[in-house]
Amino acid sequence: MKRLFIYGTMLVLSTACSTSFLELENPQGLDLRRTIVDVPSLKAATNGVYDKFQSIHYYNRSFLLYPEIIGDNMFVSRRNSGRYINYDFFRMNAEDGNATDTWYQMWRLIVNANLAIDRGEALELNTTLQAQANELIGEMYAARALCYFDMVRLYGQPYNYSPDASHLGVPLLIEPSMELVKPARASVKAVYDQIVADFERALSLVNSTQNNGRLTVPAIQALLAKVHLYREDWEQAERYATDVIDGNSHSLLGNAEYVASWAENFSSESIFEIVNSAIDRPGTDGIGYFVEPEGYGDGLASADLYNTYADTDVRKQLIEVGSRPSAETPAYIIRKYPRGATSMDDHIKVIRLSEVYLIRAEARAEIGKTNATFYAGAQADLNTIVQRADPEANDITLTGDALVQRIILERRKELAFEGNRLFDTNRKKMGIQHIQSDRTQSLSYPNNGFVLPISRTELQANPNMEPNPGYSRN
Amino acid sequence: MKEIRKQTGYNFLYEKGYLDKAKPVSIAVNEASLEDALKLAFKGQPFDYKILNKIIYLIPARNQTEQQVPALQTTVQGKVTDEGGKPLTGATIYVPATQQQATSNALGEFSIPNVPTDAVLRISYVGYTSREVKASDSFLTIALEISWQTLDDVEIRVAYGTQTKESFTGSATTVKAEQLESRPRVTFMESLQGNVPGLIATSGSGAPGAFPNVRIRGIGSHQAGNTPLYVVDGIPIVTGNIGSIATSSTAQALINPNDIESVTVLKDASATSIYGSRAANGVILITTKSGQSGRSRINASIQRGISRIMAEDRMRPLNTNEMIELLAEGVINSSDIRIDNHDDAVQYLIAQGINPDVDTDWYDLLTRTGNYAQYNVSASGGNDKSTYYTSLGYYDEEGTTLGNGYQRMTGRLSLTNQLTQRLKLDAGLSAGYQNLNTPPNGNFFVNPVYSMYRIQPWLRAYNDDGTYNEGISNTFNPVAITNENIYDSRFYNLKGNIGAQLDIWNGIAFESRANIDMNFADEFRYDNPMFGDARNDNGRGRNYNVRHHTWNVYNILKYNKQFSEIGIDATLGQEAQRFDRKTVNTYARNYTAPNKYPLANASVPAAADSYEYARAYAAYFLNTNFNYQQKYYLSASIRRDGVSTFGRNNRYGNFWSIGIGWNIHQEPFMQAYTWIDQLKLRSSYGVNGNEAGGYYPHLGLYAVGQDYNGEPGFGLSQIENDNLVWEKNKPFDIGTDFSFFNGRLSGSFDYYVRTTQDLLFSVEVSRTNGITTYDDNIGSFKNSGIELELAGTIVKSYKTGGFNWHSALNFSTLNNTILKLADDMPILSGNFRRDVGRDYYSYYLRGYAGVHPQTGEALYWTDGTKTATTNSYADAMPFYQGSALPSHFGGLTNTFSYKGLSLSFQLYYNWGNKLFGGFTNLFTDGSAGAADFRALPRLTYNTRWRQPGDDAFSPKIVFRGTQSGLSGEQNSTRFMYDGGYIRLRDVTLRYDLPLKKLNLPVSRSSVYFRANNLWTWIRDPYLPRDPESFVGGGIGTSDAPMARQMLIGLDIQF
Repeated sequence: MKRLFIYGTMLVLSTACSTSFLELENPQGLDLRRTIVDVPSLKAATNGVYDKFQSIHYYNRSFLLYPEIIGDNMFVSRRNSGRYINYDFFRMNAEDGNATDTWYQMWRLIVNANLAIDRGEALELNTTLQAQANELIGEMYAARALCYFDMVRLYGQPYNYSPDASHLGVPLLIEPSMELVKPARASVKAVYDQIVADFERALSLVNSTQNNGRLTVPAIQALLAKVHLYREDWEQAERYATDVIDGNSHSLLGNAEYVASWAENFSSESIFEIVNSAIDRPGTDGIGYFVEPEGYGDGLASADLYNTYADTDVRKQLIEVGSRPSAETPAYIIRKYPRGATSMDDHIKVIRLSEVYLIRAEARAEIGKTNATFYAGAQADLNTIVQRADPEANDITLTGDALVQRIILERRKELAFEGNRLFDTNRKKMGIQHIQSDRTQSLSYPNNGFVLPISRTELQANPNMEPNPGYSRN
Repeated sequence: MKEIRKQTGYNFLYEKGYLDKAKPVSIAVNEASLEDALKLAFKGQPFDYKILNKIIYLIPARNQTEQQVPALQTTVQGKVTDEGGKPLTGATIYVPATQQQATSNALGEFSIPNVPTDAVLRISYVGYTSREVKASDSFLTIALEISWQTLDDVEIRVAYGTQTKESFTGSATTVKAEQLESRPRVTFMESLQGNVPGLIATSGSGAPGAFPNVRIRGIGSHQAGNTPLYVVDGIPIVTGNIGSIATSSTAQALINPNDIESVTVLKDASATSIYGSRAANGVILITTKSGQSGRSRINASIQRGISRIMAEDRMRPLNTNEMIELLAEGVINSSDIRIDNHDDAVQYLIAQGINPDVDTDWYDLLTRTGNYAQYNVSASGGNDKSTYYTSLGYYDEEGTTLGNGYQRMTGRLSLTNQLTQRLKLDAGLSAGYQNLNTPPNGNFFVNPVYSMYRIQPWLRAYNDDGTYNEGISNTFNPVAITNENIYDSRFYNLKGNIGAQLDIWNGIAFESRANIDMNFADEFRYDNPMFGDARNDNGRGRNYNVRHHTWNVYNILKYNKQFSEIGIDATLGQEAQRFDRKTVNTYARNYTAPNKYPLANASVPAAADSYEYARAYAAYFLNTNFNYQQKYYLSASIRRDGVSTFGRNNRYGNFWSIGIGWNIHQEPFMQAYTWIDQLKLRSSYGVNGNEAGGYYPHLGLYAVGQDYNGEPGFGLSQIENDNLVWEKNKPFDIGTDFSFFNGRLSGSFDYYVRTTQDLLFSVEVSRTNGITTYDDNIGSFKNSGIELELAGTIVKSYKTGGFNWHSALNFSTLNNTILKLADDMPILSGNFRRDVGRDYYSYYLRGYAGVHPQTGEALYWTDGTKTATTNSYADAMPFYQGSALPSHFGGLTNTFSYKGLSLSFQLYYNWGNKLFGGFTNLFTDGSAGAADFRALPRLTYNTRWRQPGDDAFSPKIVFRGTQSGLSGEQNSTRFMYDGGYIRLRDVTLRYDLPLKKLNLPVSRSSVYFRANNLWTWIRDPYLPRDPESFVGGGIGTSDAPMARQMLIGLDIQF
């Protein structure tokens, strides 16, 4: 009897161990092929794409710091937490962790955007839902375009580096792959063509103008204007900038509101900003913590930048003259991310209306070189920004290259610490004063160090990937 | 005998070598009494038996053969005693020449008349070593030495049971309770080091409760894991880290080493393949103690001790004067700062914020003398039906670095019951609790070890009023942080098991066993609101819970029968296991009041999430052993294993092994060599497996939690791979076991080659795939080596309490080679480069060529030819620089005893590996200037270039200079060290108290002094800390340093 019982138990146990016993699903993973099935799941996929903009290696810190530290706006304090020291010393190499991480986060964004576009376009929906899906798909085209734009600016020399922009860009992947890929780098021209095509496609799909941390019509137009500015297609840049300004979805802040607006979310002139919530925030890894003295306080403004502001310029208040104990005195403390050491959830302003004015000013100034009637518009746009910040500033009446240079200076002043400086000097083929705590070096253009290295891990894993000149493969 | 023991609970006791003389018998008795069965079994054997207290003693048989009586005769008189001089009653005195026999009386005395004067007397007594003495006219006093050998010495634990050593065709090493008990170590694993050839068990951290990593016969896997399978009383257990904060903790620590009877390390195919998919890295079988019938015992032990950091002289950070001396030199050497004399340089440094009047010894503040205490008590016993073993243990250790502490409590109960003559039940229950305090390693600023080397000595820990100084690196005052933060990890474990064995009929038996293993981790981290990370959040609290739950069931049918010439021993079985893990993390910030820690005291709930994982196994197996005349053995096993971690196409794998053994000493032609007790040749080959790491590696997945603006989001995390298969491990072993001169010298020798195919690799992929790695089966490894084990009694006294010297030595070599990789592309991983034909842990670094004697600049070899140097790091090419794996290692244990005093010690050595890192490669040469978290290493101070013509090791200091690198980015052989060392590990000086004289109600008691890591010889003079590190690891920058422990203890047995 006992024996029978045991044999019985054994039999039961044996049958229990069928295939289903071994077929387990991941309770916190979603099947790659069967997850995007409707609008809510598509929305979640797009949230996953925006999430990558939030990476500290992208908009929440690194991407904003590279152009400022390599450039002349910012340096790393002598007393520091060890972050971005390679950039401060202008000694980047292919093992650089930051360059590797930013590259990876950007590719995560593109791959996920490709998946969302592909699956989203395959959905069969009724008209109402299709409109909602189109909105989301359009955002994904725009997100991909923005990411490629950022990537090609960071890892490739500027568009005008070679006459036909045939120099090394970044790989161009616009379809999802279920297999592993090892793509080669496309030319800068091909990448920009794709960026323009994606933004234009996005404009045909997106209708929203609501300022909610997502890519909207004015955001796409503004970014497209910026892309054309980098491509030196001045007419298109002027046209899209005008679309934004005339669209009236956003308005410039007044002088009195300007400084305080940096502590606020979705100010009237912020066209696209990355949302950081109280929960989903970079915390001590954000750019704010990096610059706030109550945080790491590592990132300091250069005196060179500080001295460009007139005393009556409201923007001068965003740099506080203080001291850094056991290190720099005076220390120019950056206050553009004022929640950096308190709630640590500053939103990141990717593009603002003031930049759109400056884009149009520059485009008009460049067109003015062949058609002088545009100078007035260029000067007006520039003065709008200059005098908004400093009501006592005189009207600028410059023309030609002097005007363009004045606009670039104004960009430096207006957009400091927002991740533009090196990109601006690069596309204007300008050298740069590389400023550190205790020394300054003059770096001339062109310079291999003005683009980041393709990381060694990437080069090892992908033999088709060409390294950036000046950074060895080994 | 095994059967008899199993059926009756009677134990056998016999002298060494007795079984060798036994003739194989097979008796089939049904419902027979023990006496009848024994009579049958001992018929015709060269020995007889005697039953006393449920122990069956084997004694020499009375020889019936007739012989001539020699002429000259005398009467022999004498006395038989034990080592202590106590008379032995009932000892047998036998004269082989005449077959005369006598028995000693109550006084131990005997008298035999008419003994030939040239005759030899053989005196034997159960449990004692027999002696032969010449007949003499004078009164003989014959002291016998205790020499008990229980069945465990001839049996070996194997998968799903035990086997006689004679029949075992595999390679295994057993470590006994004496080598594990009462050690100042949390786990038994560290005690395997130096005792098991082919096994490395090293720690990279000296934090109490930190686990060592154990590697058996090299590195067989890149990613699927190199951890052996741990099996406790037949059941695989949860191993490794189970926590979220105390990531160096281990579930194995909840097995009190004092509860372990033996640990058997199974190494080759024959021994391990029956565990199929999980056997690739060897198997460690842990057998816990159980009670014995008839003997009730209570054991108690008390230990107290202290611990100190090892190699302290190498670890001392620089003081303020030394730092200023270096930096002032750096200021003078800097071309940017135009200062050319020391005084101005010091003034310049003071202007930079250096205070020469403060000299804080951070090392002193952040380290301490550790405290250690351990208390154990156990009781065991039983009657002819049931046995029990129960124990309680308490372990408490305060680490040598501030903030490190460990406590453990364990309890255990194990029971056996013979329900009927055929059915036996056993059950066990154990409960354990660990409490660790471990500052995190990852975040350097809050890690006290990292801090003591990084913080400048001119910064104060305390203000004059006794409050903490907040002005260090944004309030990251390490003393304040370590004191005010909480890292509290509590692990709870409950294990229960039940088993039944049923003898069915005629050698057929059935065994069924089931267990549950529950681990619960409850961890709390509190970041104080004043210092460090959380001050802007006004305090943070995080609660992490992890629950592991495993069940396992196996059913086996055994058949064991010895026919006249051929024997068979077969096991057919089925096993299933499921492993579940759930983690819950909660996080809140903004605390109401100090010293109120539960999250309810914080106003902002910041995060809450939970994750669940599962893994399941199902297996069927057959294991058979055949023998011919118990001389030739053949064993074969096959197992079919399924696991949930693989895709549909490859869910099941088949594994097998074959082994042969030849007991040469059983051959007739060997009988002439009487000094050979045992000589066996064995060999095995087979295939076993290694499953993929993680839980769901084959699925194509989006990961959740990638949210935006409060809305849920997901993103690609894994590309699917249905073709992922088991990693196949193919061990070949040939070896010999031997014993000579009545066991005076014994040992074994093995040569092994272990190849791994279909290596599971997390291949670094182009980031353009949106992922960093992809699991794939690529490549192949080979590990080979020899293992030698020798044990001998070098000095053996025949006098009672005389001087004895026993020595055990083992030696292993290790050679790892990569045979194949995907597309034969080398894989770069940190400072290692994996390439075909190279060792897995081959360093690939730029070669440091020393210092230019004139300029003081660092020089690098341009390439591996070492023909030209450059002062530009970027212009130097990396090349291979040796391996992080030792080429050979070994242990030597000596035990001396004299009267009640004994001394034993173990020497362990490790040779041929390189170590990289430590603090020396961080901000080494002044690049960070006077920054407060950038103290310079002592090695730089000791070896720097100072003036033209200096033949220095370290380059000149340059204040904020960059020639020799920034923050540890310029890794080269400059920061690589020789890892060779010799260490005096386990030293015990023990004194057995003369209880008889003291007249105490105690059966045995001893006091002892024990020390671990008492002394170390370090080969590399530049190595900045103790050389022990994780296998293949570098020198940690935040791991607690290794410690030396010294303790005194008292053991009492009632």
